[in-house]
Amino acid sequence: MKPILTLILKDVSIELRRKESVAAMVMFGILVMVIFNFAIESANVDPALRPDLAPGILWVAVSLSGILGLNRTLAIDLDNDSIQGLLLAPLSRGSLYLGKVLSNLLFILVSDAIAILSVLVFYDLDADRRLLWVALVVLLGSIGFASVGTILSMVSSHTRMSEVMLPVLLIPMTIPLIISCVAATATALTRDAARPSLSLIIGFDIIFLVISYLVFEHVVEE
Amino acid sequence: MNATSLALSAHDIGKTYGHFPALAGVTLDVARGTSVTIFGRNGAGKTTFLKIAATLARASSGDVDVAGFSVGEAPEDVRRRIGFLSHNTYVYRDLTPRENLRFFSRLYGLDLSDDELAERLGRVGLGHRQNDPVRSFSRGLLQRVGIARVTLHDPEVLLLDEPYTGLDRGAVDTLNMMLDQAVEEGRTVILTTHDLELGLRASGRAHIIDRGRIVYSGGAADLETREAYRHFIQSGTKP
Repeated sequence: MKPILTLILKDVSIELRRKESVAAMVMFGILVMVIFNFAIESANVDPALRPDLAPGILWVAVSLSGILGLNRTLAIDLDNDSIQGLLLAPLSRGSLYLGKVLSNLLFILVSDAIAILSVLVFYDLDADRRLLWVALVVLLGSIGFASVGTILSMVSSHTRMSEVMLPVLLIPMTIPLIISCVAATATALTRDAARPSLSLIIGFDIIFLVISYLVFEHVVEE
Repeated sequence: MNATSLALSAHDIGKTYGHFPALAGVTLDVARGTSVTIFGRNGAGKTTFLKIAATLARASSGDVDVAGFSVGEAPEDVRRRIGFLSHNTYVYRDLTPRENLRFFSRLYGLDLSDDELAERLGRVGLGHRQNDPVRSFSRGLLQRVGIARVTLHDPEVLLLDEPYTGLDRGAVDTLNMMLDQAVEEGRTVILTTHDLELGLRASGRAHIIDRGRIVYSGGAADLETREAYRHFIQSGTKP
């Protein structure tokens, strides 16, 4: 556990110094909200329907800003090929993978928190108990997103145009997860505060995490 | 030589990238506490061989043991006992030398105090720059941080891939001093280089690798070694 914590602290310390990844993710998430808000305003959508659009827009912001963050955090380890230094350390590839997933998840969750607050403001939602369910759905969805995103960012780093390749690989693979998250968020936001079904999302998280953990070794070694 | 007296034992190592054979059956034994240089032209397979020994690449065929542990079966035990340095130093440019060493020492399960970190940095002549961001360092200073990183956990075997590339005179002297000291302390040094004089100075034995095979092995002080180098490395032909 200690090496994993060391990896996370290193990423946080570099991020605090560079202030690149999280700032870019937060700004991008807010911009997505603003653009959708303008689009909805100009389409004269019935104000009563605005909350119904919120789940989809929230997940567009969460997933796109997440991709941006995954690319940025990997860049920390690719600069000066520092990732090779990590691979030379006497820890399992699985521990290295978990460390990177947790770092990415931490950054994604900070950005997610701002995205949830923005969606409250832009789409006239009440900050009540339903918000806790939304936060839980976003947490679980982000775990799956970070799990598969971490390994795919590593795969795409071996290709030319890696920043383009990551969304091309990640979005199709996470579509089932994102659809489940949108549906669960929509359920959580209904007026009668129904309990969203999380089993599918948890299932995706476990599958993505276990498979990525097992294949990470083959991705990082030549 | 029996297995325990060997720092590295490679048997018939092959490595292909797609259809390209980077290594085509390398067999090499290196005794503990010795210093060996592997010469070779660009693309000869030197880096691939060292990367396999350092667990950074997987051999397509053959077996390698380093410090008595199989690279394929006990990679973490191998990594605990090796220090790998290339012309890329693998340190984080956004951190200071002290922060880099603290980070890497924790990955090795070491909890070095500030004084110990300062002492390690002092050994490579970076005592006065330990709190400056590595990003502001010249190539030579960067390599000194790399040397400090590699020797942090007192490895039994040092694998050095073209370590002299781009170094100024001072950094070359620091590296040579470190290599001499490592051999005196009974560590094993395996390095690759293009530079005949630096390579022979640093080692007791020399090997030449060409097209993925060891084509010559001899004593570093032998005149025959210089002749072989001239043929294989400079003219690309057999003597």
